[in-house]
Amino acid sequence: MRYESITEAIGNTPLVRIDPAVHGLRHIDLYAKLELLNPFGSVKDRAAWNMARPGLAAAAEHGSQVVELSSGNTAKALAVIAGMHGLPFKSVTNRMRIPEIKDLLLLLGADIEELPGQSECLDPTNTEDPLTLFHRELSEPGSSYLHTDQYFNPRNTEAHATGTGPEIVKDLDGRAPDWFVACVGTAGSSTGVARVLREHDPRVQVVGLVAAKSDFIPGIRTLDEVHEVGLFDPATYDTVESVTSDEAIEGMLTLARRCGILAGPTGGAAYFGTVRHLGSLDAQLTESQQSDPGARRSAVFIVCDRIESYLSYTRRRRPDLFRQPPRRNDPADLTDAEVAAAPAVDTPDAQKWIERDRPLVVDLRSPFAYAALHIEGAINIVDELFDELVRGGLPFSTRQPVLLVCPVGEQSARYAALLTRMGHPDVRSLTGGVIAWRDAGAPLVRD
Amino acid sequence: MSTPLGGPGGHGAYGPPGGAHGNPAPPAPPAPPSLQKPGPAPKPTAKPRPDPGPALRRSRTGLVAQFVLQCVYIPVWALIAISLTVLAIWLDVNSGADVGPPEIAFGFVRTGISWRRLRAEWGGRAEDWAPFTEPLLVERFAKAEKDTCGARRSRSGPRASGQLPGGRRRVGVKAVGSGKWLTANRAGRVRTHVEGGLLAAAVPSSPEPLSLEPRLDVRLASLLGAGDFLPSLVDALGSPLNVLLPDQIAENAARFRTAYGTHRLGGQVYFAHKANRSSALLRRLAATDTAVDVASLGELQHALGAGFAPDRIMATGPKNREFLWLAARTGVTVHADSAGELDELAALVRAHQLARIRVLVRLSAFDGPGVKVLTRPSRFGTPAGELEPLLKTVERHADVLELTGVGYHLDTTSPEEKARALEGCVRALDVCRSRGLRPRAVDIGGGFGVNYLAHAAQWERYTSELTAAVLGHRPPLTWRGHGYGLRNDAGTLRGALGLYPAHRPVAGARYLDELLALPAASFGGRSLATLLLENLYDLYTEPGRALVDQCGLVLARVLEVRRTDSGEPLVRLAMKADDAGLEEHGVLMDPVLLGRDGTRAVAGDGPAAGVYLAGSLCLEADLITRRMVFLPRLPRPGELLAFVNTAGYCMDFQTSRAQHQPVARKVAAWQEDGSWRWCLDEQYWPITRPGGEP
Repeated sequence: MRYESITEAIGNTPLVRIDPAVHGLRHIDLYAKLELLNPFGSVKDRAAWNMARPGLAAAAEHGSQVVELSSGNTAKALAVIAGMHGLPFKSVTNRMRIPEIKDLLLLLGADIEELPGQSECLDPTNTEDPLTLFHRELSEPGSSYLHTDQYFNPRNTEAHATGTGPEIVKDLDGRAPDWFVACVGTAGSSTGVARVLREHDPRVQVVGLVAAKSDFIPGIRTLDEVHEVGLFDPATYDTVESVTSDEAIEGMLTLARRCGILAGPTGGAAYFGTVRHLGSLDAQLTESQQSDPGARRSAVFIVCDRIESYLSYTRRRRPDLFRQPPRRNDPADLTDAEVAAAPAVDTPDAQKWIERDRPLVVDLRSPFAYAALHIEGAINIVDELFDELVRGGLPFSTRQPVLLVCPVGEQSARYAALLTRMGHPDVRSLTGGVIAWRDAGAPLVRD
Repeated sequence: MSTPLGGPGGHGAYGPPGGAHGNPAPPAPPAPPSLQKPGPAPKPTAKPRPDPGPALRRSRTGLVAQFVLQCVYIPVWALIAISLTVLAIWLDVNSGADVGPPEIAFGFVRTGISWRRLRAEWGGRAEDWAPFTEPLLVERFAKAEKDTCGARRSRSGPRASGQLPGGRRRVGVKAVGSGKWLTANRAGRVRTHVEGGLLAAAVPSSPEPLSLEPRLDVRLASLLGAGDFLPSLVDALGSPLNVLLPDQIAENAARFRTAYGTHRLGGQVYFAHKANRSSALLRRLAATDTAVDVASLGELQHALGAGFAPDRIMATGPKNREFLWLAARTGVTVHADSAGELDELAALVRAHQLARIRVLVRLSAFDGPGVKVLTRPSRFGTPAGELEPLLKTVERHADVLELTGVGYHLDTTSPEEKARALEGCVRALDVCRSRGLRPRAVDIGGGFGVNYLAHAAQWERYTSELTAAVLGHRPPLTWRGHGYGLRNDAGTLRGALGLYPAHRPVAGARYLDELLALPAASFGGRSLATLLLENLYDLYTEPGRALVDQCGLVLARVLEVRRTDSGEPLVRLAMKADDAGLEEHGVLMDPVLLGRDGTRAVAGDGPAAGVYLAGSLCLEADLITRRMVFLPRLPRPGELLAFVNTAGYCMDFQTSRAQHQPVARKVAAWQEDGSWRWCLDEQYWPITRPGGEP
């Protein structure tokens, strides 16, 4: 297939059947709409392109900045689209909670502004929430912004009503599925697709999935937050159910490990919510099937984006999935007795020792702290680096005495114990660390 | 139970006024023998009366009962029955909607109204109500939903039913009183239900009451369980009354110290005095190793008088000349807001030949690498970008001012924002060091927060229901539909919830602990604690609210319990709204109801009661809560409501003498040998013992 522009590759994503052996539903065919195969990696590519397209020419003429409230995929797609048209892009967000996406946005040249957190000392007369201020700035006279406004822009819904929805019907040989399941973020995809499917067959059951309150799944709003979305209309959904982040990750793992679909947690949530919702219905179908065999049902869910951006998100919630091999020469292996027995020296003796034997003074603090103030003649090996060094073996000659220095003498004691165990005859820890050194009035220098 | 419909004559218990009291017509006194008029008069006397008393009573009572039944009771009933039928027919004709049950069912329900039901309606008790409302409403809704199938929700503003919190329960009260509400019910309530139904599958319908139970630590819980200790205090000292627990503040301070210890950090915890004016708290704190942060001349005097030496006092906030002078005179540390303040302080020190004074400078508007983090603009502090001129000022006054550190105070609950500011401070201190100054402390201000509520689930349910109420998906939870900052904009929720996050799993010393463990992004990701430690900086904190967590309560007497004209249950208290500033600070937390004997009311004592709490000022706005507070049962006059955990900003921060109403007295209470002791706040010292014994 040949395209003139990458934006032409948006849409026409495949509809893939999930192996019944995986989902376990006996009378329902389950299909995944693989929106993760859009060129910028998510379902938001459609909405972003559809919303931005009409304003791009004028924006390029005025040199406007493209602005959106997004902390994820919409920002990513808009950053690419804006960049392609030579426009700057700014994403305003409550809190970038996915570090990979944040870094990716910076990499793509986006400008990110994070809104302040909740007020600690409440001013009840203050009616200016940060979002109100944001909107006021956008509508100020003379301001030149292309605000795509994904939560209220009908073109968001339209992108799916003209794209995603008809594609599903076409791929199901002109039939609408019996169930359609989507996570509710901006409500654009679910509303647009549901509209098309219902026009086709009013019996379609639409299931909206939201995050459990006080939980966080990227790209999904919680039960309360959905009401802040202009495109959200409760009438769109026959049922709204909630999914937890644990369930989303569980679904994500099933899709990735068993179905070969490298979906992110949002897609995982959609899969998990779909199977959960259909499970009991499928059991009921078993009974009715005996009278009418052969009448199979179908369900479609949307896989929003890809797994790669959510490694740290997953690691924080499921550290067990990221097995680490056992490590050698790990200070964590030391017993308390070994640490307590580590050779140590207090500030006055250390000063004399330095004078007499010229030990190598190793400052384990960060380069910034070392640069600010340190013991004269010390070299700086920050603890993380030192940790890596000792894994490979002793980094010093056994003939070279060593004085280890850290802030309060705890880390230095551990490493002194470790180096002693590794066979170094004369390594000592500065008791009380550099703070004790300072408090004793011993000299610290700044280069 | 009496009923207005039956009228005074409706009950046998009350006889007609003339012949009441069960002993009608006492036998006429024997007429004095008349000498002038002989005749029939002597006849009765001559003939002994055959004890007419009981016979006469029976017949008179019977007559009265018959009269009442015939001329009052039956006609009234007939009249009501007819008018209700007419009303029902009229409404069905006029409502013009084919919503609701068929006409005939409606008329039947109305005319067939039973005596038991009327009693229940009048009494308004939920359990009496249940058999009447539920089947009726279920039937109506089923019909309405069937009829309106396909009719989609309209995005109109608050519903007509919106003026009736707990509307379901009062359906009948209104229906009997006036026909007006009936319309609202049939139109509004039915529509609300249809809309609500769409989300019903996802949102478990909230079982009322929507309680927000306060979190009570051991000491406060024990105080509330101390029998008549609290009621007798209010009897003696009046309502409202503030009770403080000085031992608790010492415990809280120790927790902050522990957080310092965990991260091996040195420095000082400065109690932000402005959170509470109590002497007892301050004096108790002076007996620990904690320091104090004072923000006015009066607070400085108070701290000095409570036993804080100047090396444990820091003067912050906007300062007048007298405040600065006393600060400089006594040698406390001054946390300066601006270069101008440093100039003024230096001039004072020179003019009065005072000793060199320790100063910190407050910075604001920090920037850092990476993404731009917006922060609420603050009136206080010098922008970090203008450090250079500020340091020039410090250096110019080097003979009288000694820069010991920099600080910030951010009004945010977000640890990430604070982390960024802390990194900014470390960078600023490094600039100081490079100029030869020797500062050694970072002051990260306050804002560690308090967890007010016992149950996260209650808070989440409440805020969800509040959202639903604002959107009109359920009856309002608040006085006149107040939204606490949220508003309904054509079916979409707008605005921001202007409430303190009352349930905070991480607050106080734990918040500090987690903040210190955050990575310092611009310093290679090592923790903030490590950053401070490695750079040899001390940590200063200024907790206020967090340090007086669980340190006190406000008691108020219930004066009156009634319904307003529009049906809202209202409880009036012997206090003003400013005596417990929970609402002012956006803290939603239920008060604890104490019976007259001090027994704490618990769920199950009676039907839970949703009430509004009003103060005793002659002012519409004097509402202690603008939300319906759900108590375990309806309070009775004379009982107490305890607004617990109010020592931080919600006790005496805003209290006034409006209308010559009394300001709450303060007492300090503590436990000794298993029982509770108290004295007036101003008489408390850490060595106070009952009877003055050592």
